[in-house]
Amino acid sequence: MAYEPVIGLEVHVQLKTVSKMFCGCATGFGGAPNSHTCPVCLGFPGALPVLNQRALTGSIRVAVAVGCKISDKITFHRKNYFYPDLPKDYQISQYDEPLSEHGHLKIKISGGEKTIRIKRVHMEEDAGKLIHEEGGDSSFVDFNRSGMPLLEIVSEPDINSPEEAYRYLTDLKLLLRYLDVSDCDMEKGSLRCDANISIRKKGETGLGTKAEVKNMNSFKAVKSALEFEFERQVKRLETGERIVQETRLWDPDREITVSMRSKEEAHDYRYFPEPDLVPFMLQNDLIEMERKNLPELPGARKARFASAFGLPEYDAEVLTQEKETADYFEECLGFYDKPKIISNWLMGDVSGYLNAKNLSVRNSKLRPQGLAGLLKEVDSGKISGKMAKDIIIEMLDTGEDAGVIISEKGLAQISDSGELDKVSEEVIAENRKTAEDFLKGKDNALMFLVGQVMKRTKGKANPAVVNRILRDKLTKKQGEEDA
Amino acid sequence: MSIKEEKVRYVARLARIKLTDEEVSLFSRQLDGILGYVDKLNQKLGEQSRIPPTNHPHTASNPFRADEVKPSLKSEAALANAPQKRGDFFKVPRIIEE
Repeated sequence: MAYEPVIGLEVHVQLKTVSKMFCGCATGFGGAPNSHTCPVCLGFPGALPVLNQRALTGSIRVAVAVGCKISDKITFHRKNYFYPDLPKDYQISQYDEPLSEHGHLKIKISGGEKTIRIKRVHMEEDAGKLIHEEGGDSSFVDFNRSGMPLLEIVSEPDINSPEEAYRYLTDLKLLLRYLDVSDCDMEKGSLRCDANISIRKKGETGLGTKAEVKNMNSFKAVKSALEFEFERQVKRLETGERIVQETRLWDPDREITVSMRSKEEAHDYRYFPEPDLVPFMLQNDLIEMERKNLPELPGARKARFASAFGLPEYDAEVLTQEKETADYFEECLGFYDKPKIISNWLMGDVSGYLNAKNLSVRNSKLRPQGLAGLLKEVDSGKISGKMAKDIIIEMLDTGEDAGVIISEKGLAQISDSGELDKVSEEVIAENRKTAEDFLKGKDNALMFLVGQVMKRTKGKANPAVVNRILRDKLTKKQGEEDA
Repeated sequence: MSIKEEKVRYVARLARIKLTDEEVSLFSRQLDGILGYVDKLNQKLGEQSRIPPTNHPHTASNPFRADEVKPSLKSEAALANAPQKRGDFFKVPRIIEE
């Protein structure tokens, strides 16, 4: 019997703000433990939260971009539970009147697109960070992360393979980075993902009992965990066992999921309205402003790159994978009007260099105008494409202009026929035999002579010009001798 | 709607409040009385005039804060009332994740 997985993903991203969600403490990483805390995010009695406007507008931007219906009244709720990383013993979150609901994200799958519905996008605050002492009997709490603004994006169970889950995450991250609302760095914890997975026989539409899988620290881990979990559930059903609703943790070392010791009682968070925050009445103009200010989104930009610049689909996709790269590409176009050539350089030598140095193109020293300048030098014949490959590395290292590097290093290609004339004469004189071979019809002989000229000019001669000069001279000589 | 003692014990456990048997029976009776009164109001008002839940008695709307960093407490101040600490950390009994 063939089974298929039914997967829903819950993604938490940390919103890019300078201060926390409900207080003015800094959100930056790297402060000493508990140095970014105040009475609000430490949960001192009487401290009152006030909503960070940028956290709200960033959240609205995401909700608009995934086509969610945005609620005109937003309330916050207290989600009550006890854990040492939660200083107030409740988390301020949203419950029955979330920011927005009913959106969707289109993802690429083999052979087309698939629409994954988004159940809701809502705001909440983060908890502190617990550190466990190896072998000791204590844990330690750092509340710097307490109260950081989070956005939770919950998908409907529309995902039907671990591969699709991976795609969804990749495309969602791309979108969020375009919207400039989060760094989406899983390693730094600014993007986290939990997965709900159940299985059913292919063709059925009902939902089976699901397991919640946590503790994946990369998109690849999400995929692996889902692959494992699918197999596990299929095996259970095939051996006549039941699936138990539970939370399971991904163990990256053993590459399996392990059941969390089930709690004595099911979670009961006793949500109730947060009395410290009055309901927010969202004015339409706030939503419309975010809608109007939406940047061009990745899919649209890719399509435009293909149609407006005549780029192959592959190039269009690679160039739009990061907003920064796409912007850079378009800036280059402002100085040099051959899209495919710029694309080749960005995807080839430039990206090779950047990957090796773990840099982004903006952090490199190469300016769009600089790259354009180099490509113009190639077009004019001053330097060869091969020389340009060396020069670009130097430009990336130093930020120097191509023209300066060319003249400093004496790299200019010799296209001056006067100088090449002289060298060609010498080469022909010293290689009579080869010259005659060419005249007898051996084309390879000419290549040898070109090579000799290149050698004498230390590779600086323009090969096309040398080729022409040699050909002219030899055939002229033959004419003279024949006469 | 009536509140059974069982419910009171359950909510007390969720809230980590220790109640004696006498308190459980007292609170059950009191809560039962309050909810009974609400039931009575609902019956009187009828379905049509159901009032939406009040999230907040204030009529203030949208008090925002600009996204600006304000000084935080010094670590010593943040940790001043901690029952236990080590370095700049709050120290708590070991929490086992699994």
